Amino acid sequence: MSFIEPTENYASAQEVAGALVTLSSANKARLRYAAHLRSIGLIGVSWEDLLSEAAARALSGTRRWPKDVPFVAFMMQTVRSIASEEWHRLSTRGETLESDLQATDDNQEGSVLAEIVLDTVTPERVAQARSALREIEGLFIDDPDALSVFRGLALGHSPEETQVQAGMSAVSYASTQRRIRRTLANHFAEKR
Amino acid sequence: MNHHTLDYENLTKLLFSLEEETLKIPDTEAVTTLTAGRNGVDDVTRLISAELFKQQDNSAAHVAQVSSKVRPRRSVTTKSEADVALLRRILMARPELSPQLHAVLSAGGTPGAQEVERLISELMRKGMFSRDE
Repeated sequence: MSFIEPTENYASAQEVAGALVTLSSANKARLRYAAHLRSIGLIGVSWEDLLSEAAARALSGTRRWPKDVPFVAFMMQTVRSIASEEWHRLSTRGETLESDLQATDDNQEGSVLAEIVLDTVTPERVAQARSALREIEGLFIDDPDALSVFRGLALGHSPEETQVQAGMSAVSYASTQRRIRRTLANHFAEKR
Repeated sequence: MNHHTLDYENLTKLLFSLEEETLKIPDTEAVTTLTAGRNGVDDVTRLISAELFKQQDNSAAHVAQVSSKVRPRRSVTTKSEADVALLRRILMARPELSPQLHAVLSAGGTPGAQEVERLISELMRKGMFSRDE
């Protein structure tokens, strides 16, 4: 016998399965892109691993989907959380085991929408992060506007702040964003 | 960009912002831009289908396992009956833990499964009750 928590706010396994099956093409594209983004800098963990694990956790109930959160946003958050765990493992142990992807219980109350707390930023993590950033920046070395947008995003600036600092119009900012998405997506496609 | 000014926090902010953007763009742009000419939708479908298939396998296996466990055999005390018997002993000694359930049991009645479950869970949380599988 096990304790049964109130589940009215969370989707059942059947509802999760239904949401996965009925994901729109646009949301599948968003998930694929997000998983690719989060796999940057990870060693031995592909975007497919991240997405598969996210689906597995959602289906098994290890990670529960609050019904008031859009499913694609929930899945992206789950991918982010798994990637964060991997960053932590890489920086603290220097290796990742396949078994580490299994049965991580992050189903504690209140943690569903919260990032897993990984507040120890080690020198190794900083080095990994810099390497990952270099990988992204390398794609835009000839695109100063894209690098300005990246810098703004990385520093937490608003689009307006970045536009002022970089001397960009709102239109050119939006155009740069689209160019970034397209270039990253092409890069991800080539990595397959 | 000055690499030395960027660290893990910056990377996190950058990736988070890029992710969030994808939720704001129109569906048509998401399909055409984010898949970059490849069939990125199909490979996600394949991944998800694989997980669903595994889940179905697990469910089937799980159902079979549970079925074999819960099928009661005559002359053998079921787990549920054992729980109630144990609860009866606990509540006779500590009726204040659940006066209502104590009253039901004292009168020779059978408490509802949910009531039993709720009390056992509470007792387990308090470290007053444990059970081996």
